[in-house]
Amino acid sequence: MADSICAISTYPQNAAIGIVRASGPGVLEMAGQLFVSRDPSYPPFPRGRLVVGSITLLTRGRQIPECLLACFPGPRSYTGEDVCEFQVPGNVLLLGEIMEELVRLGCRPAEKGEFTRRAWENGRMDLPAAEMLNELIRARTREGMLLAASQMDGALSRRIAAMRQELVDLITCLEAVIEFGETEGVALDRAAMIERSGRLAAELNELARSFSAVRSLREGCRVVIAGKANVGKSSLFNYLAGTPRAIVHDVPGTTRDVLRETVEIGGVTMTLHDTAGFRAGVVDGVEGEGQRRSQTAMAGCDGMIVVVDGSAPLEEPDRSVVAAARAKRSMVIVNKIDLGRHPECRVDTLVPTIEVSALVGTNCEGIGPLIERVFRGESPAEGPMVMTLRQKRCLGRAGEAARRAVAGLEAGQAEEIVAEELRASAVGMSELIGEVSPQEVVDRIFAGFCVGK
Amino acid sequence: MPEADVLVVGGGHAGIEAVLAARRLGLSAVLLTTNRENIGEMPCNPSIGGIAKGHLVREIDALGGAMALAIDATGIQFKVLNRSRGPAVHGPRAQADKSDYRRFMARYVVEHAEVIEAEVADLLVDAGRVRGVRLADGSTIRGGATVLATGTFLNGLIHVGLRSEPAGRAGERPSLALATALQSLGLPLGRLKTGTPPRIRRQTIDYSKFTVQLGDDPPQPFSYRTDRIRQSQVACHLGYTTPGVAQVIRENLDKSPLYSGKIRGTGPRYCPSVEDKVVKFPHRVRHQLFVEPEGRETDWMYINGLSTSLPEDVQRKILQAIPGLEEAEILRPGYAVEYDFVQPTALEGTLKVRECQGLYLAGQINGTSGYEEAGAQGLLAGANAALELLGRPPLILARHDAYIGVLIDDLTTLGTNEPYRLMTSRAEYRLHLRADNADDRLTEIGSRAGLVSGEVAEAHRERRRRRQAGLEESRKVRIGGATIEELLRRPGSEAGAFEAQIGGGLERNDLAWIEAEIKYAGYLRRERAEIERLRAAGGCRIPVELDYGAVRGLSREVVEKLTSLRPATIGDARLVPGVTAAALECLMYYLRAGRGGA
Repeated sequence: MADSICAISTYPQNAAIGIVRASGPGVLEMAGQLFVSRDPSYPPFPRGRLVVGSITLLTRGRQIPECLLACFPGPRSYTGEDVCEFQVPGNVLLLGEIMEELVRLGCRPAEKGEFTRRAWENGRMDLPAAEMLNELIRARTREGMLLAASQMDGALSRRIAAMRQELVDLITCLEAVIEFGETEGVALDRAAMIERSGRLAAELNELARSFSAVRSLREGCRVVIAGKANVGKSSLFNYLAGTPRAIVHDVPGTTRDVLRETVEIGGVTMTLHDTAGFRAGVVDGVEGEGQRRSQTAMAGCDGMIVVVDGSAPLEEPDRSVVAAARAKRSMVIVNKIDLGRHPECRVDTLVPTIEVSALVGTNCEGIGPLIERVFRGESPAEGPMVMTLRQKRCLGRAGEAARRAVAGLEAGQAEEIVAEELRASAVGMSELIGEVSPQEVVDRIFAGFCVGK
Repeated sequence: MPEADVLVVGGGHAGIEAVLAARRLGLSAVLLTTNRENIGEMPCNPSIGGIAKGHLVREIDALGGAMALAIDATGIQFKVLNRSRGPAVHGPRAQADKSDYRRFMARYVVEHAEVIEAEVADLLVDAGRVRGVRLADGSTIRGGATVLATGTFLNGLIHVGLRSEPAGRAGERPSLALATALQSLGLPLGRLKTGTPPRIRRQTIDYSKFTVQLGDDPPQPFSYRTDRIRQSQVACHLGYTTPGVAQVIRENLDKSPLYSGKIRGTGPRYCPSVEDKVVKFPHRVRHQLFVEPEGRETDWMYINGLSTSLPEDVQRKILQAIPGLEEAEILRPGYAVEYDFVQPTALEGTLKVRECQGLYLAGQINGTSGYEEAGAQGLLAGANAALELLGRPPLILARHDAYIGVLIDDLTTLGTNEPYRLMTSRAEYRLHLRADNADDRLTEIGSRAGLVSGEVAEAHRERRRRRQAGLEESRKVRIGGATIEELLRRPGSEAGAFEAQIGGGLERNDLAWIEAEIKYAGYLRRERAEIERLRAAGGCRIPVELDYGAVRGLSREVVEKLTSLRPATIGDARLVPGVTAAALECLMYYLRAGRGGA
């Protein structure tokens, strides 16, 4: 039923090596027509081994030397179909010629993601693993990339599969009681049901929550530089960004808009936000609007770098910003120590603090390590995580239904209603990884219960 | 040469409903049976209904069938199973007086259709169409369409211990020639096994060792057309096996045709033999068994739960190890029967054989077990045979219309490799498919098809008005500050308790309906929205040039079928055998998304 597809798999730009991949019925024969192996004993080409040779551009009657071919006969291949991969000198025009040859031989240019879609459709990869592959390819942070890679082993699917198994067990208990309770004396242990489905609901909930924990790893930590006006936030922002992105001026309130820059400091990827400083009494006008934007940025960020002027006493705007920072991952930079250290500038000792002069560079080399210490995401806990919104929504639905089932059990709700909720929960999980068929439940009833007419 | 529009082979529960359905549609129909005395025979347990099975009986009734009427007239103990659970899983069930039931059915069939006593030996096939049957005496009967409902008779082989003899049921000859005929049509045949327990003499049972099991009072009829049950009711008795039984069985397993490898057919898991129970569940110290009378007057008692094919002397030892049955006299030993069945994936949703015109199959021949499953298929097969001859659209019930729809869809799309029994857990829309609303779901459909009389349809409309009024009333009437509706939402509450307040003229079934509509309200909204979506999609047109190969998620087999049949709408695609609900979803998604999306 499936046709054959081909695509340029590397970035379409001249490079040392370019790869063209094809999948589907007949692609191994096509490879045989296009590829002349240096070793005359091929074809048939060996599975999964690179063969050296040249590619014949049949329409042009030319040979392209220095090519490699790898063949993977299905079903033990990436897509589950016959797959071949040409590794050739990475010229875009050449890659295009090879594509044309393949199309002439019967392939069709693949749609976006079609190889992986076929892998999924042919059962070579489950949906979460396919999603993780996509995450891996698209990751913008090192942590996100490593996390996606760590999730590709199917741990999430296995975890969900285990939970789903437990769910099917619970449904089976209910169904066995509904169908055979009276005629066969099958009884329901409600207390055990409550305990087990409660545990399941909690587990689902916890898994769904891992989504927010990993988000900062995937997208980078959003860190707001905040503080009183004219304490040197923008100087610091420029220093960390490594570029004079923000206008620095000694007039207080120079920064109005929130400026963003994605930086990597000590292996931690973060989006730094430079914000307008706070000044007591300013509520209106452009500066007032700037301060409101600062508030919004502070409310929505993952972490804060509070900057205070070490040469002056702490004032009200300083204190409230430090107070806001306490609820998040945060650090304090006491700036302007080149102007002397004011004894009234004492900061909360619970928040990691460093004293610097951004202007002259005093102690600035210590900022990076402190940032790394404060904002490095907790290295992802072992085990599966929820990484996409789709997964989170599926789990959310499954978890809510499981909680309703627990509530129903506790309230003495009839079995068929509880079963309805558990079925709904199973649907949520199935959307993640596969299907629960009624036949599956029936099979399990007979495996686990002694029933008769 | 005699002839009729519809020929029905077999006078069991499927055959009866088939011939009656064809007659209700106004065609001439003949029931062929080897013995008219055995029309409506219950070869195994003496009961009709149960969980999911009771639903089927109500659905058969809503489509104008006879099974509910027969059990209402001849039942000797009526009991709704699962009373402690919600109305969706209530299972109406009744013990029948077997000979009364047979007599009722024989009379009813003779009143409505023609019965010919004969053994069918072959099918008259001409140019891919079955045009009648050849009898064992060589004569032929022509028919426009033929329904085979031969039960366990195809190549039937009875086992008692290691002794076996060809038979369809105890004491009845099997159909060997017909099995050969089906094979030569190229139908995929398989082999199944089922079993039955020993029958013992009433007077030799010590009832003091058993717990009395009484039926409901008052008994609730199955049929919408029965106002009340008139017969007096009898008791059944509950007892248990002992470790001694398990020991006898373990010591004699070598004499079991099941465990010696003599029986190759697959048996029903839900109705395992007692030897199966002992072997597969060794940790259970005892198993329930019910002593059920096969009739009001008869000495024959059925030991439900003791199905076995061990030799008769071992059966005697088993009985001796059961408290109360130590002295029991065996009237007929339990036995197993192996028989051929046709893998039902060879059938269309109408129960017509796909590769052969004019031939319909119903009942155990399709791999099912149970009188109710058989009756339901018989009704649909008989109706569809007639509708085809009349040139009218077929009667196909969807999974959301009826358990009959679930049953036939499971059979024709999934097939079976064990005797198939219906269960409520097989239904996706369980809270909607209830015994109390079978008429709401099916009377109109039956009426449109011509299976239900105008009178019955009018009675249903009246019931519907009455229930709706009762539901409205329950929203208004307050008891101690809360409306009845609010009270009924609480777990454990029953509409029966508010009968007086909800209003007069309501039957128990109406109350169950009101209770269900209130208790399941939120779930029903969801289920019905889903059903509506499916219905609406049913009319959705499929482009003639659609490339099914491009629809992701369809199996190669489904693509081939759809490509060759080119259904005009999603609704038609649903009728293509092998097209599963999941495949339809994929198709609907593809059509909605225009070009199928990325």
